[in-house]
Amino acid sequence: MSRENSAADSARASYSKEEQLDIYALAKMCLETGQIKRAEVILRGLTTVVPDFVPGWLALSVAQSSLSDMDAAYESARHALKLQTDSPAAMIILVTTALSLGDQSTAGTYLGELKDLIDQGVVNDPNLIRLFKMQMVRYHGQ
Amino acid sequence: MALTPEPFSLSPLVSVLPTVGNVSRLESLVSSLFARYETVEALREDTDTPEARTKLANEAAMLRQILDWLAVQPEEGAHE
Repeated sequence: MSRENSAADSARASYSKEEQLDIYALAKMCLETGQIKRAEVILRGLTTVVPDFVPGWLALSVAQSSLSDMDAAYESARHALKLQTDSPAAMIILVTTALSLGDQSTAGTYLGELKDLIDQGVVNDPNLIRLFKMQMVRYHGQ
Repeated sequence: MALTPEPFSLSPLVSVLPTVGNVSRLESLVSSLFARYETVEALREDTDTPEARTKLANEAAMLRQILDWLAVQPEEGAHE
C-alpha cells in the first residue's frame, strides 16, 4: 500500500458503526424521496469508505438502476451478494438487474434460490415476495 | 382523509432495502463530518496515485452531499 493510500485510508478508518448506519439511512431516505443522484453520490462514497457494508451496496445498486446504469447496478448487486451469499434482498435486486440486461441464466439461478427460501418460510417479507412474483413474470415473459 | 401510497407502489426495489440507522442523528454529527470533509480535501491535495485520488474524491463528494443536506455549506473552492 502506498503512503498516499495509507494516509487516505487512515483518515477514513474512523467512521463509527452509528455513522455508517445514519449515512445509509440518509441515502435511503433520498431514494424514497426521488433524490436519486444525491443518494448515488452518498452511497458511492459510503461503499468506498466501508467496502464490506452490504446495505450500502444494495442501495447503491438500486440508485444505479434508477439512473438506468444497469451494468453498474448489476455489479453492485453482485458485490453485495458476494459479501453476503444468503441475502434475499441481494438476490432479488440482482435478479431485477440481470433481467434488465437479458441475463436469463443469472436471473433463473437466483429466482430458483429465492423460491426455495420462500417455500421454506425463510423469506417472509411481503414486499420481497411481491417483487419476486413480479420478476417471475418478467422472467417467463422474456 | 388523504391516502398515503404504500412504499412498494412507489418503489418496489427501495422497499426491500434494510431499514437501519437514524437520519435525525446526523445533525449531532455536523462538526465531526465537517472536520472530516476538511481533512479529506486536504489529503486530496497531497495525493498522487489515481486510486487514492478516486477514493478521496468519492468520500469528499459523499460528505459534501451530507453537509449540503444538513444545510452546512462547505466553502466553495476552499480546497480546490
